[in-house]
Amino acid sequence: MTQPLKLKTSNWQIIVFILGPILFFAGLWAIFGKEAFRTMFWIVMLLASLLHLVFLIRTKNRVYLIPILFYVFTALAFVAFYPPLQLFFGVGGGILFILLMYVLITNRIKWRYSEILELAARPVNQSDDGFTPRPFPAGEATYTKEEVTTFARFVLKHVIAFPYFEENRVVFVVPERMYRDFFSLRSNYSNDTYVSFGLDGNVSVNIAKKDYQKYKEELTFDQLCQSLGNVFKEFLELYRKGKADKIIDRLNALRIIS
Amino acid sequence: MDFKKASELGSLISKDYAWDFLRLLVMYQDISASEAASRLNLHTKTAQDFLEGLSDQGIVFKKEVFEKKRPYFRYSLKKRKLTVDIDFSTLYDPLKHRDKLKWKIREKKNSNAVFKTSSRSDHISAIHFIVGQGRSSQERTLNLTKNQGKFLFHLPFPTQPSKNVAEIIRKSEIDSSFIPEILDIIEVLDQYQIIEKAKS
Repeated sequence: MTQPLKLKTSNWQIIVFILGPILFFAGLWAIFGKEAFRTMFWIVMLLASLLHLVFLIRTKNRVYLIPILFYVFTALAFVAFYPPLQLFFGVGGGILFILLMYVLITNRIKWRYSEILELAARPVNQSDDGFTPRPFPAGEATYTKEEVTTFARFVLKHVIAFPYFEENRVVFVVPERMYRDFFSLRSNYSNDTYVSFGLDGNVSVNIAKKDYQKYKEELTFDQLCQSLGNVFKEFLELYRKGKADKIIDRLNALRIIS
Repeated sequence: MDFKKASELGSLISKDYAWDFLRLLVMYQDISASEAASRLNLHTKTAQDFLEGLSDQGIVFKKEVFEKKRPYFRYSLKKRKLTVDIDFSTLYDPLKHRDKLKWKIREKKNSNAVFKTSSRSDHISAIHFIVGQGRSSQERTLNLTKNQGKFLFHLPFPTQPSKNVAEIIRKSEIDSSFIPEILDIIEVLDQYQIIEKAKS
């Protein structure tokens, strides 16, 4: 039996994500005509491919090639005036669309913000609030600098969190949207949710108020922080033991769509 | 010399006319308040207060004299050199504050204090909180020392069991020479109800 989610559901975001572009392009066609629609469509597709190219470069996850190629093929299908070429890009785009759907359904490039927050909340059964905007010392863990660094690369590849390498620690920021991180626009993450692994073995956790408010209940804050720290400690341990697949399995098992 | 007496002396000799006044006392065998006041173009009451202050500090002799008129005082310099010796360590007696190490504390729930961390570590660098209510409320910021920041990083959360101060200091790996500054910040946080002490 599946456990009810402790996070508030946000279906409206998915609806906006799907319906927004459809309504935008439909409106564009209706108001400015077919040519304006064509031009805007291939520009948007090209921008989307560039965005995913940045994701590919930063994460080094080759799965991003599928959305990149899909957006490029779709854009070219709209600009190619030579019919056989248009057909080639159109069919190619269609095949890539199927592959993209597979990638999306199997959560290959899904940002794991919701899963991480949900996993952290699972063992917390008390709702005593106690929020405070300061980091929580989540105990110690055994690891080497090399281990935590390669773990950070794995975490970034699977967009579980965004790692920042500092002199004395590696900080795993868990943002809802990673755009700022991918484009190196985040100057400070002290107000965000993160788990930091000090090179002295100390682990600390910070949960942002905006993220804490995503829970249905006011979960006992220190327990939630400890649990988030434990999630990352367990992930690191699994990674060290060569069981990285289990990390992905645990995240997928939650079956969170948003 | 205790600090109160030293600060009174400091305020006395920092007056605009102190240099001229003390020069008169060096030059004259003795002098009355009205003579000094007329010489320095001061009000007699001002000169009287200054001389009384010097007398209280033991710098001048005060002698009551009787002439035809009513009696009055004449002042003469008692010592030509004055060494000020202040022991600042008397300002803080660590023994008086030792019991605070036994306080069981934790952060108070909904204290509304905002803890700021330094950019490259988890240690708390500053605390922002509101003092007062309504229109007269003001934001105050406490910038913390490194050790105070380390201590507050280990301060139990509002939903955690309270811990005694000595235990938190030990956990924070703070050297005992920094205990006074830790106790000081605890006192301030207690005053502004950012921490709470466990009922014993």
